[in-house]
Amino acid sequence: MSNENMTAEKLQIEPKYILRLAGTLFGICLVVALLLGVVNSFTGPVIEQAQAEKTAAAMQQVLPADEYRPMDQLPDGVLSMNEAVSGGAVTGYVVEVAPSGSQGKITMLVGVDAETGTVTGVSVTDHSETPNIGTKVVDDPSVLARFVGMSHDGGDITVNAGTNRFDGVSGATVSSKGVTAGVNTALAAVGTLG
Amino acid sequence: MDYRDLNLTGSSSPHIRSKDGTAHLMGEVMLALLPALAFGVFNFGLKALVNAAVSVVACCAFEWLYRKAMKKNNTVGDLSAAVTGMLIAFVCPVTIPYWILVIGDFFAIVVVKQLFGGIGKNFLNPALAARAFMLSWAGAMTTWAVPRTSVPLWGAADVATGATPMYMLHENNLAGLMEQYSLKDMFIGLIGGSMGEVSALCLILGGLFLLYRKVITWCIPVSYIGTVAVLTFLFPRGNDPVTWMLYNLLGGGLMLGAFFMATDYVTSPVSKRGQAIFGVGCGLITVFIRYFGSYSEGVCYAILLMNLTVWLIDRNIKPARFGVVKAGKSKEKEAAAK
Amino acid sequence: MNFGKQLKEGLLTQNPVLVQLLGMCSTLAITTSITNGIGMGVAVIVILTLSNIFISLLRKIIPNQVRIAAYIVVIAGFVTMVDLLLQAYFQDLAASLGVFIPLIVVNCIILGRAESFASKNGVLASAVDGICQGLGYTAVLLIVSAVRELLGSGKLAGITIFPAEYGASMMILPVGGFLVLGALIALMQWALNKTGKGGK
Repeated sequence: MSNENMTAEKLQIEPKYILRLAGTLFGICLVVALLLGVVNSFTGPVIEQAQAEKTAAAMQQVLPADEYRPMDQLPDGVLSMNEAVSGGAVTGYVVEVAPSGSQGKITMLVGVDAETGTVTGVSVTDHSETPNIGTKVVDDPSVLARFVGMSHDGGDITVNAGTNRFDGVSGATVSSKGVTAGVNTALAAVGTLG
Repeated sequence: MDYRDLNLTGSSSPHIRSKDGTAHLMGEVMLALLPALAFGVFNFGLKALVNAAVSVVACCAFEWLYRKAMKKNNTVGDLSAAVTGMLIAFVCPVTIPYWILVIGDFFAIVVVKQLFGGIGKNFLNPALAARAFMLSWAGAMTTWAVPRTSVPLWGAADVATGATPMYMLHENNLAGLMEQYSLKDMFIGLIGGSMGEVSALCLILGGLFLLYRKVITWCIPVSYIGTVAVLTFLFPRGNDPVTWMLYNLLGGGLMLGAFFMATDYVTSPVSKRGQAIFGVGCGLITVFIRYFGSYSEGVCYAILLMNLTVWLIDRNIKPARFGVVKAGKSKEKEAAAK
Repeated sequence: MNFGKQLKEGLLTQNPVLVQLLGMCSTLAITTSITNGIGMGVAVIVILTLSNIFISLLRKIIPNQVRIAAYIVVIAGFVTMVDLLLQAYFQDLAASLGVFIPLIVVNCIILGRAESFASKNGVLASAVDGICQGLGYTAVLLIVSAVRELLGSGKLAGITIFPAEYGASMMILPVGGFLVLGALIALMQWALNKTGKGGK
């Protein structure tokens, strides 16, 4: 549409025409919204259920328990925290953290035992690490399993150094450091609970 | 004697004869690279030489095949492909498998150079672009043999490897680095690293030779190395400034990059001022990557990034044309005359 | 109406990605595996066809001044529906395509076809146009993603062709998308010029 056209139309515009514009647009929006509502009504529960199943499966993986209760008070740097309850007693915590990896945030769940303060499992739920490099850390359960049994008794966990040592994957130092930072945050978060 | 018997041909000036051609210049560059190659062989064994040979042959073969397939005049004789091949071997660890080297050669010659029209038309340094692509195989590209090892020609699985000086500088572990490698080791090249980058001494010798033969000018190397020196001296990250600066200058690919890669005619600005800007830019990015990046060495990316700005520099920094006086200056002169 | 001609235009001479250079963002971003490529392609075919049909139906009702707003509402509606359906029944695909499904709303191919074709042609022709242009887009996604997946991770549609450690991971990174798409566009231009259909 050229500018000339627009100004010509502007001059001729009548209240009735404006009503027609608004009416048509409103009608289209209404129909689309109705259709969306219909689709949402049957996909909504399915999506919700799938999400819940996925989270529950990931939590079961890092710290098996009968039930998980979301906690309201969250320490710094933690996305969410759940109490793992088995047989009526709190056995541990599942902490969701998102440290920085080499390409973006690594969203991960860390299970921590309530009694000993040790890591029971680590699971990465979302990441954008480099294929074939960073994925050697975040997509490899055997690498993540190296955290199991580690705690903050000997200070922060460090990568390829120190006594409280996590053996990273060579060539993927940044991703190794990322997941280690996540585990450290989770352990510290559980530590603040006392 | 009748002048009509003379074999005269009319042509316009200049009438100076010179053997300076691409092949001649590239030959000089090859010659200047030889000391560093010899040191690579001394430091890492015969595989360094074989790497260079494989890479040179592969580059020339790709150049020849592509020109042949596209029915274009063959430019393999100008030796530019051979220099690219040599440089690719130089910027890789000596333990690199041959097939990765050949893929890198293919990428440099066909994708980076020939697809854009061949010599003189590529906008990136082919050898460095190839290195960036070869980081696909990050494991093989970041495994560094320790100095004075004899790397076997096939299967380098059990070669002793260790962290390079650049890695330790990146960790800000200067004390550990000084313990492992003295400044003398760094200067001579008795360190781990890419096979052609280790010996600052040999590379400086080669660079001085190129300067003496007027193959390159001092603008880019001086501004590049100078910028890195000033920045590392001013911001030594809590270490002794002079020691920190010297380790930063001698480690990694700075000398090779500054003398042999940033000075590539095709991918650097034409004017002196433009070249100075180019060199300073390379220096800034190199130090930024070394200090703040997740990679420990930034020379490769610094030069590639500055390659991309060459058109911009050349468009804005034009040398003064002969006989043209700047507007401001001519007014000053007029004022002075009055 | 000529189905054969429209198909040829969509796939070759007026290919949305290679000739019209539309929808480049998603082409570069999601073509890391054939599964992604096909999933995205099918989603776009469905949305493009539906939006073309509806816009063609409404073309006489929608006033000129608000047509873009009306088109966007229609397109956004269909995109959201497809997004919800994918999340409900194809969770893995939805997870790997991520934000690029909602972003189909601003994919220029869809708005472009609505503006340049569906708003001027009948329902049947518009539906065929949606399918043909969508097929052209899908074909490009398929080629680019096949090359990138094979060279980058040594797989084709998830089936291992050669071990992943020989794969050039740069091909799965953004740079690989630019390289393959650039080469494909050049090849297309060369072929069109050769057959004298390049337009110039």
